[in-house]
Amino acid sequence: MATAKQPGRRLLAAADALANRLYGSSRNPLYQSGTIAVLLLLVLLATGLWLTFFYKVGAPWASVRRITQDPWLGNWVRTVHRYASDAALVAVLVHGLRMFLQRRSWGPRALAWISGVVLLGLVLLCGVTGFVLVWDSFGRALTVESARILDALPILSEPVSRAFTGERPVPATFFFLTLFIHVTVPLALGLALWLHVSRLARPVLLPPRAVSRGVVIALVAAAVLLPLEIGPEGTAFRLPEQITVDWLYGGWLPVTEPMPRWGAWVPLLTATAALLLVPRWTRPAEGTRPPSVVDEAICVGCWQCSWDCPYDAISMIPRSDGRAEVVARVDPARCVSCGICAGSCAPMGVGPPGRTGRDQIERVRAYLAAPERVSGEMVAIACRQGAGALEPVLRVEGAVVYPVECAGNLHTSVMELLLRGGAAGVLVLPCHPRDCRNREGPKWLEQRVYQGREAELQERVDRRRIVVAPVGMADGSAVAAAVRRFWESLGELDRAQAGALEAPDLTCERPPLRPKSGR
Amino acid sequence: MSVPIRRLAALLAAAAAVALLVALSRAPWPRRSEHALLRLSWSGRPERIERCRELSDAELEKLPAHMRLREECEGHSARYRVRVWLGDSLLSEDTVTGGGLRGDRAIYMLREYPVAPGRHAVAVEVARSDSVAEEPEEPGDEDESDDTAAAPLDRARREREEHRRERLERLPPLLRLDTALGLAPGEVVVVSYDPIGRRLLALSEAGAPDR
Repeated sequence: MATAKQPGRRLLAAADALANRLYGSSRNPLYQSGTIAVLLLLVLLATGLWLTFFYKVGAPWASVRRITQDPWLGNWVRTVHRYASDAALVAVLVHGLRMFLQRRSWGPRALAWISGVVLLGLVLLCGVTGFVLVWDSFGRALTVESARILDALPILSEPVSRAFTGERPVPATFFFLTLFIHVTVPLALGLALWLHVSRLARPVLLPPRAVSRGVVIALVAAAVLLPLEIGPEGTAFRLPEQITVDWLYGGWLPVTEPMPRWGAWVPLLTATAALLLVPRWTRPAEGTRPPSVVDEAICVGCWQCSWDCPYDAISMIPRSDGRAEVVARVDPARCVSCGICAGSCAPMGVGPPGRTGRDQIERVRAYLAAPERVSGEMVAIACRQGAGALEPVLRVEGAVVYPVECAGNLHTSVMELLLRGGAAGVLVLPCHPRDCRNREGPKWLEQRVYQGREAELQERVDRRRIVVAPVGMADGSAVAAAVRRFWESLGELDRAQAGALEAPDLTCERPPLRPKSGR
Repeated sequence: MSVPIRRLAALLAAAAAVALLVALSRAPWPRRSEHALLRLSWSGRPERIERCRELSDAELEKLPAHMRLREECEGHSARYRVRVWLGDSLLSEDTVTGGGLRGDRAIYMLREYPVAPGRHAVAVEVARSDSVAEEPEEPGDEDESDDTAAAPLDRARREREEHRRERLERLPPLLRLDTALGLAPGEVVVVSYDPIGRRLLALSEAGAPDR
């Protein structure tokens, strides 16, 4: 499984790197695929509500034709509705693919994955019913084929297909029922979305304003420049010469049509089962990583780990050892073992086994004491899942790679200890904030280093020798440039400090710190 | 990459993504068909093949009040042979049975036959292939009311009415449609069953197709 994912992850990283260069990491639409899907859902709700006022279940095709023929508002609203539904499906698929390739689909994240699969199914159902409502040749083809597939189920007393053979007109109740499904599915979407993000402490539902504006402008521009037309009315008495197909929602038609009706269930059920079993399949062979643990003897009850945990997995409870105040408790069912709490705990009392602040300090000490180590080096602390893949680039540029599970786990004492141990500089290379597998690692790290967030980098540490530069696993040139720039700045610093030693200035200036913030 | 070039490239990339989305959203799927289609689509309840007998008063007495039917019938639903001719050639021959595990639900027929465009003599025959025992003639509308109308008599009359209604709902022993159809490429003619007229009929876009 892991090997099969490697090419996919490389491809994804390359696409991310390109989008980062074009739009910047904060506006990279690939990082925002999930939030863009939510934004498009809102666009669909707004335009769909408007369309509902003009749709008639007694004359479906004629009413949509009337909407389409309105050049001022009707057609472009309908076109935006249609393109937004396509874009929403693409966004959902991209988001799901990202989560799959980044292995964010198992353990406590299984709920988000399963609810995501449900969301995908609901988006497809909502889209297909929307096309049926138009009742053009494509809508009819979707209906007839869906009915044929449904008729394979031995639970229906009367074959659904007979409603569309031309024996009698398609009843208005069919369109009423379809409209009912089409407008109620978004309610189920809302519920599934709530479930989808229910394990996140601070879910981000909408993209940054610039991205939102860009998406809406692109949709409206496409609607104005390339407005939709309506196909011929669906009829049982004529085989259409050509159907204008939406391949995103109707791409399955040419696949299932030649199949026997029960045969279509095979790929459908197989795909659904495969998607639902992803949490099982993507579970690492070495087993699940153990959740964080709290050393109650060390915990001072400062609440910081519970504030920083991206998954709301840490709560504060009254102490049982007679000491005052509260103590942190980790809920193993919610903990994904991201280790963010290890970086947020100043006294190093919490974290996944082997990755607590104390474990990190031990590891640094071992590194500093290693006989092959040459001091005066630039230490590049890189996420294994991100810049860690760029080790050859870092080596060529003269940096020593110090891989970590996630830079967001990093206790600031590690940086201090590296500098005190003789390193010329520490270059921390976390993933981009919107691409962190642990959601908020880079954000908290930057705040600990630069803004005095609790478990902050101590004031005594020379911040000119520490740089935090978020990069992706395919940002080779950006990493190389960051290392070169840092070498230059370290060189200038060394020269300045050498000059200062020759003519000592006893006024010790530290770079200013921003006010300390707790949450 | 300078800022203007980067912005232009970003704009072009967004435009390409939107163009791809639009192209996927409305791509043609050619399905031109050189043939016409003859579609058989109807449903009807199959005739019951059953043996009936009248229960005696003593037997009725043993049953709960709401289950006292004078006539008790046992049997199964008939099978029908459906044959379709195009000109002189037999296009298909099927034996159909009622739906459901016991085969006592309605027969649902949906078959499609591609047909070369042009004028054709088409015949469709639905014939019961199981024989049904002769049944006594229904008393029809004959008035059985009695001034001294006791409840059991009303009940017997309602039972007979019910049997008669059920029999009328069932497919007749033989249905046959002989017609001549002029079919254009892509045209579909539907052969259906009219349960009120108890006959097969052909339907096309304009209503009944030309003869």
